[in-house]
Amino acid sequence: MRHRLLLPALAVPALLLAACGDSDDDAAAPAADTDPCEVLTLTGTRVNLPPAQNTAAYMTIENTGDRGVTLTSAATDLGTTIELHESSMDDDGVMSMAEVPGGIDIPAGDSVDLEPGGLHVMVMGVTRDVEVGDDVELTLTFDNGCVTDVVGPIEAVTSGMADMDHDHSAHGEDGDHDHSEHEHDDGEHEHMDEETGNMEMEESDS
Amino acid sequence: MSTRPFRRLVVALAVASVVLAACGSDDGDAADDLAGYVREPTPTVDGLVFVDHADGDPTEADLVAEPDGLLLAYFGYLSCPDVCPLTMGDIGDAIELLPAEDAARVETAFVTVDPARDTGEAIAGYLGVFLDRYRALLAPDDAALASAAEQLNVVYRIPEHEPGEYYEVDHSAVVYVIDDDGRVVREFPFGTTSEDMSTAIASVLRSDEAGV
Repeated sequence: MRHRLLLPALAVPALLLAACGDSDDDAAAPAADTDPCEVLTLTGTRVNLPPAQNTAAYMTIENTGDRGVTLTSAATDLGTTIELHESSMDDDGVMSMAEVPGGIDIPAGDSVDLEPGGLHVMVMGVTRDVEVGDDVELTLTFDNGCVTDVVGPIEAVTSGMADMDHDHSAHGEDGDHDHSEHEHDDGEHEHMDEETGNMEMEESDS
Repeated sequence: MSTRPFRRLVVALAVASVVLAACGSDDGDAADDLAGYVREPTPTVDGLVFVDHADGDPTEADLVAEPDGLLLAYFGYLSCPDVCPLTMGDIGDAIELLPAEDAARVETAFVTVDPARDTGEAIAGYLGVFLDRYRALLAPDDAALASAAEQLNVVYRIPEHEPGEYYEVDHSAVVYVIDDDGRVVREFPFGTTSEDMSTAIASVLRSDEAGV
């Protein structure tokens, strides 16, 4: 029991360290216990303003490691039941939603967008009133041993691309992750996020 | 650096293919390059009765636009956490992108396909986040909802469930653009961006003025 609580608490400082400790001078080289979260970068975390008792959280997960990693579960105190879901549309334009069996795979060296109309963290049984701009904390558990917290704002989410460009100054939010992103990209990456976001939407339809 | 032009090209191609897909997805009539499609024969809504909860006091309403206006109608449900809010948000953005005089002619209607769980008050409260002018609609009974769905070709499936058990509803995720004669003059499939919707709505408003 105590152990459970401790894990995320440990994971956060570890992530902060990972973010700041880009330089390899601090001889943490001994491969003995590298942080499994090091290969994962979370960006663009946001949570839909709940229409009623359910809502959805989105983010981009990048796996810089050389092995595939699976997001196996998510947790947040915003809901009573949290599942990993995917919306999909059939040829007649009928939308349905289902739990993703086995979790969400992030292939080695690749990134996966959780985004409207596709993969998302399904938050059921919303527990409290929230407003646009409120921060929500999510705990994500991956099959490589990484358990990490990420914070994102409540948003009245509109389609991804337009979304990135305007009125989200409050959107830098999840301090630690932001840093880690800036570290191993250089602005150029933001473009790519936008663009792959564009295309992966189509992929997720198929 | 050198990869940028390539990326641009990829995006340009992706956009082009989306546009092509939009034009080619249905009947040939959509020879324009506007988002969405026009069905042939054009469906017309007629004799539909809903209860509108937008202003607190329930009033009778239908799915016909006001004179010289357009109604953007969507069938969804409030427990839908993903595509329904996105679509409402995009409609809100699309209307905001219109010149004020055009925006004043456009209204949105949300019809719940899940009347067992959605209250009119909750629908109205939710729409108010995104929209200035809207109809928050509940069908008076299942038959009325079914006949609206039939006229517009909307599909919705409530799965069998125990009382109180959570369920999700499959439903058509389409925005129907309806004119003041009740004609469905254009449909936007899920994924149409707010910019594209806005452009198409502005164009339809113009063509309506021309008396087409």
